[in-house]
Amino acid sequence: MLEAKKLTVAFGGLVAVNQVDLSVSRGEILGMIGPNGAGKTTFFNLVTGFLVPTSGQILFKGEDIAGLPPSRIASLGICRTFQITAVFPGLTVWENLLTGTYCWTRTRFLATLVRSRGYAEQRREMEKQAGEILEFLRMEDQKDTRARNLSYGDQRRLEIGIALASRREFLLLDEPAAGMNPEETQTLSQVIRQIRDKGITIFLIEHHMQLVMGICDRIVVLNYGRMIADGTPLEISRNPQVIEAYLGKEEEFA
Amino acid sequence: MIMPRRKFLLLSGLILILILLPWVLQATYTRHILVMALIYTFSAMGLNVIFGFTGQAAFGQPAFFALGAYISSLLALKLGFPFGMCLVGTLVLSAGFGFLIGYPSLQLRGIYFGITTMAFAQILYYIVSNWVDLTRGPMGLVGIPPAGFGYGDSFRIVFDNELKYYYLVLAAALLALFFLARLMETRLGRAFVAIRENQELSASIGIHPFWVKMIAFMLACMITGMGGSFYAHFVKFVSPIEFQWYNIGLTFIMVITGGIGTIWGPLIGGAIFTVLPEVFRAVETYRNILVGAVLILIVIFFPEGIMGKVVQWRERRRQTALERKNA
Repeated sequence: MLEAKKLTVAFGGLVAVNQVDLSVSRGEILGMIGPNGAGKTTFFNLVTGFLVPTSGQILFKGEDIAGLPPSRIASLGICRTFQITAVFPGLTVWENLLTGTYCWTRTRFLATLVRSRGYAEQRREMEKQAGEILEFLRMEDQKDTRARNLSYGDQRRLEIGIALASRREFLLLDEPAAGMNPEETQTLSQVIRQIRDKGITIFLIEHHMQLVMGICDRIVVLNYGRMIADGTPLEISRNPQVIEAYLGKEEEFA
Repeated sequence: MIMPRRKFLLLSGLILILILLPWVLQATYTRHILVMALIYTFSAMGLNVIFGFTGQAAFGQPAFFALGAYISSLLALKLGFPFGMCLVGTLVLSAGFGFLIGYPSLQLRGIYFGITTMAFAQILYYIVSNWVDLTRGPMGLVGIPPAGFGYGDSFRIVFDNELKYYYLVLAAALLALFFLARLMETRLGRAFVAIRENQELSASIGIHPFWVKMIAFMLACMITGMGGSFYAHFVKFVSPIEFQWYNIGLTFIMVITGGIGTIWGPLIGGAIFTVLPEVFRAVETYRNILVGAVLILIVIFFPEGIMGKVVQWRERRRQTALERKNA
């Protein structure tokens, strides 16, 4: 579904992402791990158009999307969440979800002006969608709460909700479990699995190893901008290069 | 969607008051002030679109107001356009100027955007002041024809007194408010607010921030320019004074006290801060002090603006109703 070919981005002399070849297949949950500063979020920013690659290609369903603006990439079918929680703080949960439907709705000013049947139909469909997500995330009680007044965990869930409301087929989650307590993390992994079961492909960055090992079909490891491993959770946990990246070489302790 | 009963009553009550107002205040002078209040409301409505809804503080409103006044006057004086065509021309050209100024300015964000719009406002001021052949410079334009609509000689309405003009501008203001209220229900309206709340997230759900902001900016220029056009054909004189800085602050005060990002806020704020200075004219020495005192009181008791407070009340009522249902 998504394929990166020799993807590279350099900021001056710093090569943040270096010749990365990576592919994501439809319907899988792919995890990306790596030490801090390995270039994971930078990689996400490249895929979603927030950064323009220095060289290399990003193919989404066969089309090169490298360097397109974020809004265009979203309209092609990719949606993301952010490492630092991003919701619409002044809007209620309900309004946040309705705003998320932007991609697949149309403006139709005249229909809205006269409140035609077309307007009502679209409105109903949006509300149905938002209602389903509210139920899915078990946030019915917070429907009219402004996002800024939600607990941190709820804000993170709402962020996923906004992404779901956009009905994109490919979701990138940047550290969805960051700052969550064990209970919230547990709920989150269920939510992510259920999203995959809806047929949405998921690519996530996460430091929470239990979560990553538990739900990912496949994991890739980034270190200093290079991809150093690609395999099942079990293979990754035994990969000497990965262990080295996280814990350092054995000689150093000798 | 059917409007809730209470909201319907409130709205029709407010509109009825606006319709009856010039019959309560019958003096030509007070009617004149009412018309001016409505005219300045357009400037506040325009600022509300770009600043209130879209979150981009633009400091060019008075310039766009004056620009609208000049465009409309020049179309009437130099090209002999009838009022209706002056109005349409003003809308089109205001949108055009909005595009030209928005294109470079909207590349920037936050205060940098604001400062750039202010710079363009100053440029417009200098052009208008110095292009004497076209604008007569500081002497201003005189002899602007009154507003009127007509088909030849058989059917003609001329808005030649304060009362008629009041109803013309009131109708236009209510139409603009209705238009905006509906616009804010569309996907585009939600995109305005989304950008105000979080530009990055907006982009990630498919909103193109630059172009959506551009539409908001052009719309703001059109609404403000329309106010300028009404101003020109009412006062029948425009001069570069209209560009002055003082009005930038005043427009912001109108929007903020009325309620940022609410539909009716600018109308209320615009009315208060046009009428108030006139009310206090009786005590000339203390006038500005009193206006300032009222401003401070509003900011203390209505920090979200007057309509913002109404929105809060409505939310709180809904919340308690929900809690009662759950209990």
